[in-house]
Amino acid sequence: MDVLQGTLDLIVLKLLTAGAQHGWAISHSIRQASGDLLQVNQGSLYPALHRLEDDGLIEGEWVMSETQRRVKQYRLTRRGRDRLAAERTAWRDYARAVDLILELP
Amino acid sequence: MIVLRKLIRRVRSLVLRSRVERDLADELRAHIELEAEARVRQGIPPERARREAAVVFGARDAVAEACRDVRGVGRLDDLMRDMRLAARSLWRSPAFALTAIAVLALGVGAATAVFSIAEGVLFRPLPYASPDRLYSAYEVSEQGAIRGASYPTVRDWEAGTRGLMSFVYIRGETLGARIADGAGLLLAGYASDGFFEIMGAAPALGRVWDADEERSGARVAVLTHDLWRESFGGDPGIVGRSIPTDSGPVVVLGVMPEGFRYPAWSDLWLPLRSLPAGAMHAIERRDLHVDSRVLVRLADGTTPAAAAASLGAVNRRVAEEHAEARGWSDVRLDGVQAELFGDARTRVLILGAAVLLLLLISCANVGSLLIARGATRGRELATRVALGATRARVVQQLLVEAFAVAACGALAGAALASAAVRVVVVSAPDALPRLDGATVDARALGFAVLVSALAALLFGTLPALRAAGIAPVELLRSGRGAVGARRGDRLRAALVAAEVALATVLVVGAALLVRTVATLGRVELGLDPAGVAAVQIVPPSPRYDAADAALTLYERLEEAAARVPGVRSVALVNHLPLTGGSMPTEVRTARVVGPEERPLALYRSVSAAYFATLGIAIVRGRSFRPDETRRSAPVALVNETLATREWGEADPVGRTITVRKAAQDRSDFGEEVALTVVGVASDTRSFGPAMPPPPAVYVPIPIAVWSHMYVVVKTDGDDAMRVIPDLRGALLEVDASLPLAGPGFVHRLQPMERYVDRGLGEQRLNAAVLGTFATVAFVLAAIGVFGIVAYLAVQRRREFGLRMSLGAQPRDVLRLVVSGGLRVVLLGTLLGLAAAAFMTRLLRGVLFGVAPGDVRSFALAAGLFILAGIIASVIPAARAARLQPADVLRED
Repeated sequence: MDVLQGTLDLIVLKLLTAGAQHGWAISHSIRQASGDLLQVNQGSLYPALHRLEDDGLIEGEWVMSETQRRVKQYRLTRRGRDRLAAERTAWRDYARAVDLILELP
Repeated sequence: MIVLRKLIRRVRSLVLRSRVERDLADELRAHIELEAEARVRQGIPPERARREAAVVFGARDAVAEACRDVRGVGRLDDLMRDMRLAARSLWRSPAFALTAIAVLALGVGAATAVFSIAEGVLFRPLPYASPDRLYSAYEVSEQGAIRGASYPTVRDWEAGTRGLMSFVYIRGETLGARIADGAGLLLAGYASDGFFEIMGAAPALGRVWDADEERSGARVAVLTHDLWRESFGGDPGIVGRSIPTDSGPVVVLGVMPEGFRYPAWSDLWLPLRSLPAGAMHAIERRDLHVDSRVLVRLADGTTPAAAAASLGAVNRRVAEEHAEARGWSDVRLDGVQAELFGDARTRVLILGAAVLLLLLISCANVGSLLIARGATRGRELATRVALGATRARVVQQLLVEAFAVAACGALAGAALASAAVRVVVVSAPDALPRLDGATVDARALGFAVLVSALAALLFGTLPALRAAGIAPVELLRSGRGAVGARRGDRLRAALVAAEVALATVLVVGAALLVRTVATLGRVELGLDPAGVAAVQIVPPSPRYDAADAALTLYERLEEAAARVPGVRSVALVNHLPLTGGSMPTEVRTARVVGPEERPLALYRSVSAAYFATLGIAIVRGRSFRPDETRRSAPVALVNETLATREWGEADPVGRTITVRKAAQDRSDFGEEVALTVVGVASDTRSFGPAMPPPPAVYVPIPIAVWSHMYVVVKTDGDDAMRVIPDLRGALLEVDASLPLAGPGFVHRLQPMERYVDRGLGEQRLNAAVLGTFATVAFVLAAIGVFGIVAYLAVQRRREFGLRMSLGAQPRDVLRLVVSGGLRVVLLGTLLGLAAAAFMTRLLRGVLFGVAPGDVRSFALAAGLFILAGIIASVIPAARAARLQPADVLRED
């Protein structure tokens, strides 16, 4: 199942609350955390990362990975944290609303 | 804050572009490598792991592109890349690039250059304040003849129209003066009060006369810029200097700015009341209507029609008291601008239409080139779309390319225009007036560049949109890369037909004007100017004031001129045809004239050799005998026009006519004298080839001893200029004080051809301007036809190959291609001829002896384009006919 358009930002922000991660790790985490249910296309992930960085919600920095590779890690900013809280509420409200409709007899 | 940070990031992306690009590439590569490592950890061999990781990641370029788009650097970046791409792609197809740029450069360059030159010559504003309020006033007779108003009449006008307008009366008199290179003869404008103020002009040097000098008639003068420069070496010390003249010293007060010259004949101005005593009658007599000019400045709110009406009303009141004024009550006001530059509106229309047509032609040409290119590049574009380029990007790329072509064309056009203007200014300074200051007109260049940019936008977009709208798969599958070319072909053919049509209009117009010049050049002037030179002699006053003294001088000058080597015959005449000077007189015969008719004829006081010297034929009777023109014999000749008016078909020889002695400044002025007609001279077009010959009467010089006289010589060779130094020397030997130096036209020794040329100047200019446009247009249209025929021939190679393999002969293919090209040309030519039938009406006012619908001009244009169409088609047709069917069918 591909990540639904529009929820990718929310997922990325959430995953980064656990600490800074680079792009590959994020895509890996999405798969693992969703129990292999979700996977993300790199053509969506990287533009999303760059957009979030551009909006100041996350911050990228170049670090050396465990395998001595130069990688770009993304870290959640204050603004990102605030945004996550807001989006999270919005998502829950939305999901509940959709659920209610789907439960109609 | 956030906005600022975004901005900083964006600028950083641009400034540190290579670094940002490297980071992006590193980031994506790291991802793939990390993925590969993960797979290796799962036990997959490294080689395969790396391959799988790359496949899973997908198109790395597309991901990178998406990231760039997010940051907004994409667009600018794309533009830079498109520009590089456009440059490369134009570089790779030099034939297309050079043709398109050359076509645009030619259109922009020629249109701008011709417009700039014509604008500078024709429409440069006059150096007067609001020149559109200035009019020349003439009285009009009931028969429609016009004459100047006398000074007393002008005073009546002033009194009768106060507040509505102001008047200047200028009396022209020759002024013998000592100038730099000897005794010269100047034309002085004696101007009434307030001249400079009413003209709204200030001097460039010194000052103009004040009210006191005006009232007292002080002998002070203001010079034209030309006189100051040519005869006084442009010496600023001229102000305050006293110039000796025939009528006493004149003090120079100032110099007017360049271009201020009104009336056009004036060399300098003096106050009206400073007229020499002998010429004072000019401001007293009501019956003097020549050698003067009346200028009116209308107050704001006064229309020319209303002004003319109120002046007419004044004239009708005047006519009640003065019999002389009867029948001349109407007043005509001619705009000074139009008077100096001809009918500006017609010229603006003609010039503007020509510029627009030429620009449209070059744009249509470039358009058809761009469309052809767009069609043949279908496959390339489809490939790009298939590789992930968005439609917008493809359109943008094509537009950038079109604009690159337009920009190069406009630049080259600007360079061409400026070079052309320089060449014309350097090579033909005498041919056109006021040419020296001509420069490239910024408005014309701007307009031309704008039009070509719009054309690039339009014709660049069409193929781009079409290319973007095609499904790439279909295009790639079609193989020939020319899907959608069909509609493009039709559009292209239509553009070329339009080009031919527009060019046809220009060629028809040019043909009409060239024929006008040719017709004018062929008009029988009624005289033979070859090898004839003339100089006006104005004997210094007062030594030659007496008629006998002047007569003796003229005879001695005639004898002296006859002794000059190379001179075959010498004649004397008071007013030389084609110089503009003339004096009408009443000629009475037995015919009863109407109460309002004035039976006028040009008054020519001549020596016996006049007709032979100027090559004027005697059609009836005989010429004067030398003894008749040396004494006051009561004989006369008339020209054909006068003879027909007075006697119809009857023989005038032996009849009696009555004329008045008309030499000004003579005591017998106006005295009647009866003469016997001894012969009829053929007509001469005294006012130039475009004007009908006026009636004329010839009398022996002693009957009317003019205070000035032309010495006319006919030389052995055709080049009359060769004898001029000797002639001048011989005349000065008779009297060294004769004014033979100076700047003006009338008194300079000139070969007769110069007088004829002057009359043709305007038509020559018109023909040259439209001729240039037509030539460029013709070349452009021919290129266009060649382009489309060659292109279509290549497009149909397979079809031709197929036909030939099925038995068609090369000449069948030849015919197919040529007829395809000719169809376009014929369509264009027909449309053009139809449009020309309307457009050439614009030219009506500047044509002579040729109707706007002249069949020969139209036929010439049609023939020219059909011939060009055949030639332009034959080359690509011949190439197509040489095709080897097998080779063609094997292609692709």
